[in-house]
Amino acid sequence: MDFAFTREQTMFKKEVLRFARKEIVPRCREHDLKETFDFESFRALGEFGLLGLHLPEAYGGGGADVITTVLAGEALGEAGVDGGLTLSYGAHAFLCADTIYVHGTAAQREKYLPKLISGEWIGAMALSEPDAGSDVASLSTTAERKGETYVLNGTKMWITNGPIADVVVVYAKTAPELRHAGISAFIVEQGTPGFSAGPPLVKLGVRSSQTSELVFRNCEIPADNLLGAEGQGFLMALQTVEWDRCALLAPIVGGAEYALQKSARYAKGRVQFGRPIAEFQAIKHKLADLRMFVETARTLVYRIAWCKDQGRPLNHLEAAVAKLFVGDWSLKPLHDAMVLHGGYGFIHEFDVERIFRDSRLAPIGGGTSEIQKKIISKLMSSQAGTIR
Amino acid sequence: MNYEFDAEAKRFFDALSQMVHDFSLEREPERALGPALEANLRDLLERLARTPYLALGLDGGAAGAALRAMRAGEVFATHTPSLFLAVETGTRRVAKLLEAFGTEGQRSAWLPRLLEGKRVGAVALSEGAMNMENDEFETEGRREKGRIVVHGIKHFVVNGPVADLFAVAGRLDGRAAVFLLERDTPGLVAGERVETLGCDGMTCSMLELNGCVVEPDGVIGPMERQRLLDTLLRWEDLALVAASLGLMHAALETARTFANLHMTGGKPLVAYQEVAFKLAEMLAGYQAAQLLAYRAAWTVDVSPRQAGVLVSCAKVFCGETAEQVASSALQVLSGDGYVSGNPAERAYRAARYIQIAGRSSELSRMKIAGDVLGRRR
Ligand SMILES: Cc1cc2nc3c(=O)[nH]c(=O)nc-3n(C[C@H](O)[C@H](O)[C@H](O)COP(=O)(O)OP(=O)(O)OC[C@H]3O[C@@H](n4cnc5c(N)ncnc54)[C@H](O)[C@@H]3O)c2cc1C
Repeated sequence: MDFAFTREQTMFKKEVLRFARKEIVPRCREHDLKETFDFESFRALGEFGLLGLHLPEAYGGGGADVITTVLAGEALGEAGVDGGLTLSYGAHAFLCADTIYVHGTAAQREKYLPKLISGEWIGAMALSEPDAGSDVASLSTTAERKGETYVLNGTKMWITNGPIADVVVVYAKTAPELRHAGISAFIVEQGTPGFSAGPPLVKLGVRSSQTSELVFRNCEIPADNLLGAEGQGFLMALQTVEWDRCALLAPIVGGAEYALQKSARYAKGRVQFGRPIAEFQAIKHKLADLRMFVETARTLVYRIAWCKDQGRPLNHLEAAVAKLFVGDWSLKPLHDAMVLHGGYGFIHEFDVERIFRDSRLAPIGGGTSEIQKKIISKLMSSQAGTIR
Repeated sequence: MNYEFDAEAKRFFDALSQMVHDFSLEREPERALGPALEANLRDLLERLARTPYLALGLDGGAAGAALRAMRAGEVFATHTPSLFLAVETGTRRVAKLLEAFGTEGQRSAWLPRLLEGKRVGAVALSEGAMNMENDEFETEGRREKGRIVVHGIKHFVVNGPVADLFAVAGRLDGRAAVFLLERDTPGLVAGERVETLGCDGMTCSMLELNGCVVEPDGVIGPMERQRLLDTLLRWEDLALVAASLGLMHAALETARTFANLHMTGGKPLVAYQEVAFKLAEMLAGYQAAQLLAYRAAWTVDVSPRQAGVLVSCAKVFCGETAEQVASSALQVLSGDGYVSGNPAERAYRAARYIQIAGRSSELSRMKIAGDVLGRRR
């Protein structure tokens, strides 16, 4: 066993921290407050090379390993980048671009990846529907083959980057009677007749990311926009889980580290009863609990990244444990970081309330905590052997 | 980065697990009473001496020793947490103390016998307050006519009732020292075994030192008090962390097996989300604790100066999670769990010890916070 990052990985993380603090963080509060997307920052992410960090250099990507990619996500959070921007980045780079890279034809890769990697285009992934969230196999959007086209009908819900996306990977049923085996994935471009996005939804957290409903009404797309083969969509969606459980969790862990650093600074500077509140034991305990969360979560998240780097198939149990832990175990320490700041903790410009709000998506998005428990308990009871 | 143990290490863990498992089946050490408590410890020590276990970490800091010891300890404690703690906090800790701070003469006098499993050790640290961070040692050695005379009272001495060699921490010349005292030293009185909430197969007692005479070569030190405390507590904390992993493993496995086999309403218990989701939370807690513990131990190996805070994180997190996991296991096992003598109720009781012993959860949190606040930002 070895938990060390390479020198290059550590250096790169530092670079990302520096870049994000200088180029992105100064605008985060404003965009969170106004619930607006920060196009400037998004493009800066592209210029810096983060949007396609894990994708091949041939398409303009960075060709980085998974651990480096996850470190970059953690660094964004740790620098103080809001969860809205990191979620938009995650949906774009991992749920959309990566799916096109892994399952797309040469022509699809050529057409979409360079623009997605540079940030010229924004990507999204549309799986959830108003009546199909946890139970994704029950989705009802259909894609009917008509000659050289597919015709899409249905509504998607809670789609990150929905209102601003140029390209969406959409999951729809080509054979509804087959349930999950009848799901296929398609690339749909903005401006395609019959495709529209609803207005941004007002949210508790991750507010600078734009989330909306997507509506497909007799939306006709070229048959060439099918990703992979018909019926493979469910497996493709499952594959994105690998990234979801490391690259999308990492900014949350980084955000918790940012909250920890802010809390420590605040506790040292805030004087009550004649001494810095950092001297009160109850305050120290809150700092300790947040540190424990950060260290533990990190270790779980990098396990998923390391396995992916080894080219191993995703261990669903370990992935669900990482997701469940980050989602559920972050609640109390991040809440306490807010309380540690007293009245200021409730005020936007101190950031800790935002981190708390942003983190509340962790037990919901990409599979709720209950679904993680469902997966874990199922795997546990089916494993004949002992628990390692 | 690498999240796996190599094949050779895995073989070692498997063999150790099998050996301790067989021993536990044969002797049921967690149910032992009276003389069996001592006999179990001595017999197991002899068997362990035939494996690399006792010498683990005693080879002048061989690469990866702390991490190996962590996993080995987990495996060991899964079968018998009490004997694991007896071996670790008593015997192996004395051996490590000798190796780290002892003189050549002290090492050659004691190390072989400890590592051959022929002698039982004990470390006497705690006094009136179990934690030693806030108060000076009251136990003191005074130089009298070229010898050192030790007076003091120690509490909660693991292996106290059975040990052959006591490593007693105290003051000497205004600094900290460890006095090495054999059981038959005049003036040394090991009390009766105290009844405790958990760790039923381990013995623990008071120790009185009424003018015990120590020859100068029976003293380790004197040295800086904090250095001695930090070293002893780190070793103890690592052992307690390993024990907590073992407790969780045993409790979780017991609950999982029960939930799969026990039927209610025509279905196995695990078919109910109330139970299945509890098992999932337990597993998540256990795996999180496990990885944190491994990382802390690995850091001890590769970067000991930076390891303190991670060891403290692991100590608090693993100890507290062990109690939660054991508590949930009890809930799953319901009536069966409440009947004494199953791994879940044993783990529940023992988990309280983990949080108190070594550096307590509260003091560990202070250490962690100290690190957080001290970081220059
Ligand atoms: C900000 C945001 C961004 C998102 N971005 C995207 C995106 O980009 N693309 C996309 O496709 N989706 C996205 N989602 C959707 C998200 O993945 C779903 O909301 C999530 O999977 C839960 O589905 P649901 O909302 O339908 O909840 P439901 O499935 O209706 O669940 C409701 C409650 O019931 C519980 N529950 C459900 N089934 C079970 C069960 N079997 N056992 C026990 N409890 C159960 C759930 O845990 C939950 O508490 C986003 C959501 C949000 C809030």
